[in-house]
Amino acid sequence: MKAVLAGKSNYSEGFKAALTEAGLELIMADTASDLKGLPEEMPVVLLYDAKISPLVTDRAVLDRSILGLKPHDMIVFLMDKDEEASPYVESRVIDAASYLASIKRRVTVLMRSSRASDERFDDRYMSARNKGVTFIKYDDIEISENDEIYLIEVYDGKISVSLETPLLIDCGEKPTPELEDFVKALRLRTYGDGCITGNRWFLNQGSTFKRNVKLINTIALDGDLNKVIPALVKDIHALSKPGQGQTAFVDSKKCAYCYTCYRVCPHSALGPDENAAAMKVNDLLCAACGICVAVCPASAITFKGEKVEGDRAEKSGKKLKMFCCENSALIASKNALDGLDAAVEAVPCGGDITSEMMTKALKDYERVMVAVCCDDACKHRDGNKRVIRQVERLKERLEKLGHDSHRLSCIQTGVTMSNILKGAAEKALSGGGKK
Amino acid sequence: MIIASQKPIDEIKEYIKDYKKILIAACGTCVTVCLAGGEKEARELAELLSLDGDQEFRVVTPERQCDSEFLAEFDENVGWADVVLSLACGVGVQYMAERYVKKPVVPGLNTSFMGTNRDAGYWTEMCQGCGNCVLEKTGGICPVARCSKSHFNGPCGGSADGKCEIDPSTDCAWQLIYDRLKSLDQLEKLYETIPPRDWSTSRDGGPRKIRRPDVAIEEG
Repeated sequence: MKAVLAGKSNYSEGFKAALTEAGLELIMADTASDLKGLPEEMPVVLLYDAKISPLVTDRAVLDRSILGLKPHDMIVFLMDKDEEASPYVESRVIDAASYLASIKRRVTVLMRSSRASDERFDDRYMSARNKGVTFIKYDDIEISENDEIYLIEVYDGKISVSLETPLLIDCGEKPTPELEDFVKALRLRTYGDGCITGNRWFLNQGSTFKRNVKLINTIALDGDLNKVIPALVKDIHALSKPGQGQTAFVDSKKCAYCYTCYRVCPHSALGPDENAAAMKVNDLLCAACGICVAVCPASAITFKGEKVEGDRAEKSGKKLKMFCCENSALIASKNALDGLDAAVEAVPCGGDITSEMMTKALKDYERVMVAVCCDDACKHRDGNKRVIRQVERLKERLEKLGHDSHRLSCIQTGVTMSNILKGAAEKALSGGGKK
Repeated sequence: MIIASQKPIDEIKEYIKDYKKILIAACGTCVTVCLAGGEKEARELAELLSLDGDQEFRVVTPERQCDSEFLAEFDENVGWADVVLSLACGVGVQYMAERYVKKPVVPGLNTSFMGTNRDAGYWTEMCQGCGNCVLEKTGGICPVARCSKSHFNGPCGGSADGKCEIDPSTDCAWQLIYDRLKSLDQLEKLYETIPPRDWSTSRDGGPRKIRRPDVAIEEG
């Protein structure tokens, strides 16, 4: 089986040897332009170096940098990211701060977001605090520089704190220009505005949304390739099989060749078919989320293969119709809706739900509810947020037409949040509403 | 490409309130691509407007409404309908009205501008069809369509930090022109004054026509 080993790294030779030994036929792509002409679905192992400040990762560099400081000078680590930092970066920052505190330096770590959800970090934080590290979580920050002293003002919504430091350590992961080129060439999609910014969080595997691209942060390997090789080989072999069951399909006669699907597909599974002057789906990359089906302005995209499970009956005689994302709400709905006057229709993702589907349901049911994943939990990047915006737009239009917009509602839920789903369904059912 | 947006739905409802059978005429070209009047939008509209249940809707989507050959697809359904709700640009609406002289044709869109699709769900104006293109002199950035005042010889006093005074999210066209000419090493082009122009090639000269005699069929 063929695979691409992309990105130039000190580990390239090691990966080449290990992957070749595992039976893969490797094509080397040192630069993004080497990817030209290769099939879009070909497995790619992208080696990258996150380029965290050496002050965070290299104790010797840190030691040298504090040589000129006065004993009372504050040292500030800055983790200025809206989302959690990667576990690797966060653990390195805590270690470096702890080290400085243990040699009697004054250390403050400023963080916009902390890893509150990860218990593994509790002990690390506790130990760092005991050594004297101060952690400050903030909402807003202002930094100015005066004669090589940084003046920092942080505000957490209630109080503001001022700090002065001659050593401000930015702990953000910095992309190299080469990595930017690979990200563009591979059409990796990101959270947020989709632009390539200094925010590298999307480089975590779970957030790249393209199943044939495997990202390896070489810094996090700590020299041990065996950490990742076996899982990597297994993943690459699994890629030779198409996505499970269903994929999207473009009717080339109806396609307006407008590239809307190409732009919105979180998995970069759509591309132009120049011979047909229409878009086509790459079955190996398609995750069957249905976002393109919903968004296609020419209604040219449908699903082929088996339908998702669930009740798709147009009329069930029930009072409430619930469109449930199969990744969250559908699982939460099992047994939770027993005895309620509600019909559930499974959808592969909130992004598959159209305004037309919801309006049709409003004709047959008194109440219609859309239940999708929580923020940032969508495995298709933003399918949940797409349908939330659709619901808002449809409610506005219903009001303009003089209809009761309360008949339509939306809820975000997780797989274990059955009670929340049940509560929302009960609330919708008790609301009455005109038919 | 022509960019349009759908009219507020209450306005559309008002246009068709006196009719029972409504033909929604979508258009498969520009307004499909800008998500205003294609098959999908037409079907959504039909569902929404039929919530009251006392009107009937049909949707037809030809390749485009601005060529008579494609309009023939409508003939049968126009006969059925009491009114045609056209989701084409103003060209399509008028062409339909011209073809079906005894049938009311109402617009479902506001035709906005000639522009480009910058990103999913985002379109910007690029050309105003002034009939006398100056893009060679301005580095490929149009001062007519992209400068709020259509200035021809540099920015006005409202340009600040590269943005236009009418809206901080609008780039100053003259800043863009300067940056572009600088990157092309053609800044000397800015020394050439563009004289007051004859706007008769634009809308000011009345409705415009273009003929190609070499292609035209000779009248005999």
